[in-house]
Amino acid sequence: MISSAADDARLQSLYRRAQTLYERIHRTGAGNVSDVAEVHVSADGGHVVFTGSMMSSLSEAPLTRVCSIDLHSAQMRVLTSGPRTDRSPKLSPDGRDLAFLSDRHRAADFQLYLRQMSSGAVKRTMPVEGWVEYLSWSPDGRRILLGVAGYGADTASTKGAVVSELAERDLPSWMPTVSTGREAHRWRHVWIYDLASDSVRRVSGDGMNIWEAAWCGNDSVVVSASPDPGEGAWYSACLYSIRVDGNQHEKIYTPEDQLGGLSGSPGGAHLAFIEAVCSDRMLVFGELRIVDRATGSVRRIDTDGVNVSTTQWRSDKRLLLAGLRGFETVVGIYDTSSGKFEETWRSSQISSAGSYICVAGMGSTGDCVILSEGFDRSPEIGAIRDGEYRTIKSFDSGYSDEARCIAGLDRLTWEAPDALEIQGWLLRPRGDAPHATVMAVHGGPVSNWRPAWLGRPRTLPFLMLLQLGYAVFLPNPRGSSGRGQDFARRVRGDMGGADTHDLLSGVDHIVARGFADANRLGVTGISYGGFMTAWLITHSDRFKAAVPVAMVANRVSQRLTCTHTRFIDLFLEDTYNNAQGKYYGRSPIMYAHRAGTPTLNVCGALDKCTPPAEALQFHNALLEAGVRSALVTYPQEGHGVRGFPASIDYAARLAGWFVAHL
Amino acid sequence: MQRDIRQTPNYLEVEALYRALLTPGTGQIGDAADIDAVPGGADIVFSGTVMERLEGTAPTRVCTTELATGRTRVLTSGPNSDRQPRYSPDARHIAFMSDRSAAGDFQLYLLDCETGAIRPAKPVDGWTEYAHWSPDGRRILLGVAGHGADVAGSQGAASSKRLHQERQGWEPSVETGEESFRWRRVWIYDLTTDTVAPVGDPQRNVWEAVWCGNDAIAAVVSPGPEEGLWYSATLHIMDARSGVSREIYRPSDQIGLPASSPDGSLVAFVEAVCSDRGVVAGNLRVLDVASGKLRSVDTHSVDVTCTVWASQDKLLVAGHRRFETVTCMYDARNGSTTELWCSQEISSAGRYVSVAALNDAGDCALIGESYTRAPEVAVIQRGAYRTIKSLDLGYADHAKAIASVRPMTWAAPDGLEIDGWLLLPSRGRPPYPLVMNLHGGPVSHWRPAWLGRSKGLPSLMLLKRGYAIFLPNPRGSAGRGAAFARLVVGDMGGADTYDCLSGLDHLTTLGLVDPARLGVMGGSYGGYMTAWLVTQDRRFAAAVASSPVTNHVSEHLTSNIPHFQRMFLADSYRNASGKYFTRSPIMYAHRARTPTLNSCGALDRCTPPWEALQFHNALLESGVTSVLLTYPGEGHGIRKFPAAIDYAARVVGWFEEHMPAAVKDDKR
Repeated sequence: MISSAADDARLQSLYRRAQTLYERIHRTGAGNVSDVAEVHVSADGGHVVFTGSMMSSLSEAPLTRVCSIDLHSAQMRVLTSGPRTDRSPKLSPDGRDLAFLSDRHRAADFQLYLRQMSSGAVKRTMPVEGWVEYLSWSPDGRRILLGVAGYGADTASTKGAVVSELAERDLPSWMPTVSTGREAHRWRHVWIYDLASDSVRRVSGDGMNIWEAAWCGNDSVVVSASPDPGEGAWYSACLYSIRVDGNQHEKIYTPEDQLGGLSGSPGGAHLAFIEAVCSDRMLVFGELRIVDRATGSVRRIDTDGVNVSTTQWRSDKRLLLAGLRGFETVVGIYDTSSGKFEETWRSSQISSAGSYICVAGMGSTGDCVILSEGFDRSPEIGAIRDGEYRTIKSFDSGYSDEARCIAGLDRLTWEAPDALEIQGWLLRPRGDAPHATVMAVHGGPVSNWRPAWLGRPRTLPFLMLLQLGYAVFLPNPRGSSGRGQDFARRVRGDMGGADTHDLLSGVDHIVARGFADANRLGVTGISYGGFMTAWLITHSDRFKAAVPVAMVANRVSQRLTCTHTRFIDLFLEDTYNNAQGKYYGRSPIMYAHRAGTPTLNVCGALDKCTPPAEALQFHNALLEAGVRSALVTYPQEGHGVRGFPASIDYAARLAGWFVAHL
Repeated sequence: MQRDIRQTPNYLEVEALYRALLTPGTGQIGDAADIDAVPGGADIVFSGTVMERLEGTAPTRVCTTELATGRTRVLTSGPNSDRQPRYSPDARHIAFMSDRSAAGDFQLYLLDCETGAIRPAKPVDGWTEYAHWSPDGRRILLGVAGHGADVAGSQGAASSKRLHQERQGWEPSVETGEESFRWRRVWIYDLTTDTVAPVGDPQRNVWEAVWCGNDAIAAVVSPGPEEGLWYSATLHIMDARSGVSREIYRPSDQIGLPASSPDGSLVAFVEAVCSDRGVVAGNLRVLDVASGKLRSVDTHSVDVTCTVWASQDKLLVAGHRRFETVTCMYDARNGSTTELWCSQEISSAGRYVSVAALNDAGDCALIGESYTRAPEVAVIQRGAYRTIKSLDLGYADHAKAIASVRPMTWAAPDGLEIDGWLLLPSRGRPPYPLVMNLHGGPVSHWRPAWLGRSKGLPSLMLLKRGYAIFLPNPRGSAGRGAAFARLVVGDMGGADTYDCLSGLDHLTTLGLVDPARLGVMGGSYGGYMTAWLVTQDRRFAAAVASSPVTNHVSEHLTSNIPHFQRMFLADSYRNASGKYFTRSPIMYAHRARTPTLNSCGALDRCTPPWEALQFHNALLESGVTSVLLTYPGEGHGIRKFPAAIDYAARVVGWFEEHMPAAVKDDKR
């Protein structure tokens, strides 16, 4: 990408800068936890267990370990020691055992481990045929449900969209891969581990691919499942219940949209789930539904405008909920006897990272522990009690110093050309406005920007840009989560339609308000954001530099090479063999000849969601049109750049492109 | 289908067949190419394939044959490959290229004919593709490609290796379209000073160059290094010292095979409708350098593929005319062409026929071969073909599977005459199950060829099992003149479709083949046509589409030859009602019913692997049986061992599974 020595020197210097930033934020090598995920509270409310990650060096992936914190003393302990990755800790209902997943035996082959809390002894359970994605204790604590993916199953876009490792003996490097579309290793199943007998068995039958499963009482599990293992089949998955002892299954519900957030009440009388317009598996923000198992009735629950992502039964009647509403992150409780939703806490300053709002209930009043963070706040474990938020343990190793570059944080609202109200966040740098500004378009499209720590690979480039004096604009156009299902649905069948103008009117708004310099505007984004970046520069000449990442350039080739096929049919409401339709009409390559913006195209060679041929096509189309373009392909990355040191390189190149062209 | 098939009968049989044909480890020469004759014509040199193991790319050695005795020796010992030997004008040295010091990094070496000693010349910055002695024997012209330059589709279409740039596993590749390593240039090695230096304008990419006298160079040149620019390359004359060049001819089609008369006054070259760089068969042109006067030579309907000056006035040419391989002599004094030899049975290996002149009477040496004959060193003297040294290590036995080779001609629906070869098996009786094998290009052809190479071996295996093999040359094929070739330009997936289908109708009508057991296969354009045919016609019981194009839009934007798409579809990929869409197999995959094996090479820059993936996924979605093979170490076509064994075994297995030969009645 770099043609002159000056550019090369700048890239080197930015690389060092990104490296230093990661070192400072994560205190690499110091053995401290710098990021957290997957929180769970002990039944007595005394302590929490969670997955903590530590960066030992910047040349490899962070280590993740199971950790615990005493909620009274805030004292933290690391409970496991790997090697490799330990994650997904869940305490048994009686608090005596800790179940977790680890690939300590073989890289990426996650299996169930049990740690006796009194002695600290760790035991590996009988391995399953495949790798375990998630686990859940039965209410009586006698069994553990395991979500198991075959060796070689595709992973969701939110997990990198790569093919998981095959359990094949070492084959010579010349040998071809063979795809028949009928590979058994692509399927996902539910297995049940029985503690008393130390045995494990599969309970879901052939021809049923299980995306998600939860206990519903002690004798049955509720699952979202489809008759095909392809990622594309997830979009039409239905709800079933499976008897654990008989393997019989029964269909409970066929949704119009997509399913997630399954949770059964301890006694099995109720079942909660979320139905939502979704673009990505495991990214589900939507409407709460409750099934009365006795009558089979399914009710839609009014949650006061909150798009629910997390459901957790605290008793047979009380359901803890967390979700999004506009700029806010909201926690509340729903009571089946009163039929009412009661909000217990909300914030527009802090939120929870990842693909759902990560809360763990304490008691049944609505109190909970939450993993939280903000644009100017590192990840922390907080407790919400009686509606009051309190930090239990912050994992700030040096972020607050770095985040001083954020001079202002604005919640902006503007009108799209069709008068729809659109929201977005503006992060302003120090110095006088108007600022050179980079708009970052989020993925999905059904996803959103909310308060987030800028210390991870996806967001660290924003922190770098802010430190370099650029404003960062994070719009939530139609289709984004948190604004209700009608708002989300507006992007279905219209990607690259009205959403385009939501973004452009947002840019007009920040220019008109005097925040952004109209002559120094850049645009970037990952996945749908990468698509929109490419799309925007073929439809507007206002951007001086663009960095589409994991983009879609040609909807047809994407449709026929990606794993989540049906998503595109749904979101374009068309078929790829209609040459006059949106598959072509909404593909950036068809308009590349109109673009003039210097573009840095970034892709991961292993990406099965937006395969690398997409970035290559846009790059070649731009070059053919005489537009300056560079293509950067990371050989070991999937959907988005996540690994180290690739993430350092990525941050440097992204920032470098804007520095060179704005 | 299993991933590891190494213990299956088909795999073991193919492996045994390759062993029988190439006898690895014995030091024997199993194949030959790149023939050159010593001045005077007593000996010839060539690149001989000498395999130690059935692994990787078949290595070649510089070999020589005494034409009088047939005595053949291997002169070099590698390691890796030694190739393209060329005698110095004084016959004292043989220049050749070798990558013995680093795989893929071909550099010039000089072999002393008297002592056999080999010395390396000064290395160039890049890898050498070809070398030519200056007429006075004092300098050697080198065609040099940058490390990392793309390789032509006819040679695998992978990117060549980039030296000195070992990336760490995580490090990204960065492409800007402006990389200097993509360029091809001329270098000149001076024997007296043992120095080598690039010559010419660094902003000109040279695809092909030859000496034009001792002080000038005739070159096929483009303003940039992209493969697509080859299609509009022009002919230049370049001063060998100053590098100053001027365009002397701008063709309307493509040009190649430049050859200058010894004194440099005349430049012969071929202008042709081409689909692939380096695959040139067409009209002979002779240009008078001083006057700029161009002569279009009448070569009696022969598409010329080889041009060699046998003297100051006499140009030996070889080429193809329908079923025939032909040699002729052009006399520059009177502009006449005399036909010397033609054969329907024998041709020579390589993309097209090539020969080495032995004298100015038109005698020449060549590597001859046919469907039933292994490669052999042969001469054509006074119009008669004579075998000097056969390289048959065991082919004759296996070729008994071929009962007959029949040239066939039929009329396409629009009345155009189309040719093709029909190979009937010895096993079974008519009507035979038949596999139609479609060639690449589209401007290329089938002609008599040894079936012992990776391209032909699946056909040989099928013949042994009782399948007939049909090799049609639809419109666009070489050997029928520029107008015939041009019929496919702008119409791929148009009338060519019916040329193939009407050929099958013809064979069915003759009662030779069983319409219920018709298969189709092909690579590159042949892979495209295979995918296309199964979406347009349901007669096929099985198909194998290798290195196909299935979506012309993504192909245009990801292959390294976008110009080819534009030219052969005569459209723009942005035209949604145009041929990029209406001629793409994926658009009609829902109509297909034929079980299809799709094969691709992960490194292919010509028809990238996602072309095969797209059709595979589209077929699966339509409920059609489909299997996708992706060979991680292969480019355009499966060429290396043992991948070539694996591929042949799977192809044969696919037809056996879906259209059994069922010759059980033989046993009765």
